[in-house]
Amino acid sequence: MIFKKKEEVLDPYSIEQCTSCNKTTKRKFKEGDYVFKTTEKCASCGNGQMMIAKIFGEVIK
Amino acid sequence: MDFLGTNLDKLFSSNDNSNPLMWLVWIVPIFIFMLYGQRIQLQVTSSEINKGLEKLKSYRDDTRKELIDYVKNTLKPSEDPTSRLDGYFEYFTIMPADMDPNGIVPKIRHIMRTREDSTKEQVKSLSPNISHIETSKITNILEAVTTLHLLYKMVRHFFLTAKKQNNFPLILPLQMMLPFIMEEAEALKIAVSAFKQGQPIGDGIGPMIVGKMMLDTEKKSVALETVWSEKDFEGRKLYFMKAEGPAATVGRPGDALEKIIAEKKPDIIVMVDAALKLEGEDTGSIAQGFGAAIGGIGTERFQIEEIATKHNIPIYAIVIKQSIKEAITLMKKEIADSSDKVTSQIYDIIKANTKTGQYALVIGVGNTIGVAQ
Repeated sequence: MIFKKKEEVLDPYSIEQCTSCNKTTKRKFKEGDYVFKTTEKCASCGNGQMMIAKIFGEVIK
Repeated sequence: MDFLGTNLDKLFSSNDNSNPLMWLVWIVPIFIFMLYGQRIQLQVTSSEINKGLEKLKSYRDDTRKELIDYVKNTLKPSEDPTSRLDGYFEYFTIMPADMDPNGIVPKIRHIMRTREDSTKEQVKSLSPNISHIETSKITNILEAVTTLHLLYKMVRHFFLTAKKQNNFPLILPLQMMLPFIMEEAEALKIAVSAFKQGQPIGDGIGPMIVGKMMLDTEKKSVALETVWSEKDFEGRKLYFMKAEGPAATVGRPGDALEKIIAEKKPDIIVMVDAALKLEGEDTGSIAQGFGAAIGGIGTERFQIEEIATKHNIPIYAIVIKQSIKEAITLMKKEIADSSDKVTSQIYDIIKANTKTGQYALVIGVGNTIGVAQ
């Protein structure tokens, strides 16, 4: 082949967001995660609940 | 230069046209290419296709093994599921006769739904304790393996027929189509991993956007694996509809729309879906348009268009661009990041095309694996 394609490998991440103070944290995807899943209490404000706002893959460079 | 008494400078001298050896050097290859050119080309093309075929075979075998291992490890069935799963890979669908195409869409829908329902039932029968989400995941992986199996068999058929008959024209379309087939095959192979882990795929961006709009509303089931809810927005009533996540399903948006229309009459419909980008377009770029934004075999689109036309409801569409590979593998950051922009565009369309007191229906189209509501 004339043009060799570069293989892209994606690393999955979950973005958690507090429903009260909107603080976001990024962590590696864990099996059982899904978008809009509520996880634990927000460690920052203590009132809100953390919810997975996004799950996506980032290209490993 | 003088090797063994032959003067090479003289031998290849362009001034001397009378040299018989020189004459042979030019004429013989011309005759070889005239008589055997097509066969030589067939050999070169064949080796290229053979490499693709080997790759397709390894994709098919790898995904088959992954599916069998996944079923064994997660469902722990009492008997070995290998022979049953191997039987499913050979399933085929006979499309209805199209000599008289009038009324063909309900026939296609009926056949496709029979296939879908039957596949689900067979997957459920693998283990008595299988959950709804596991059933949907295995059904999707099974679809991927079956498609890879079919691709491999089709490419092999054309390749072997062309070789058997020394039929060069038959191998040309295969050579042209092979890069597209390989792209789809690679995407299907990678998709299996996302389905196994329940990760959202690029096609799930529509359900993700609408799912976010549905948060904090009461979700009701409206059709098979499809939910809807309602919310007030600046004096307007909004209805939202999507496949029921986080299972790996696209739901039945056509049936759901039919039921919603029987109860409420929206003034506009806004559909959000992933769309295939053209080469050179950016992943995650957004485009607005008109008409039913929904892929698949076309039966759902037909149903939605028919209902909208009958009730004279305008359909607006927003699509998020991505490649075929990005659509069925783990959602890329660029696609996920487009969600906020699309949400504001949905509200803009609603504000611009409805008045206070009117109703709008927003449909998130796509496979909702890994995306709840």
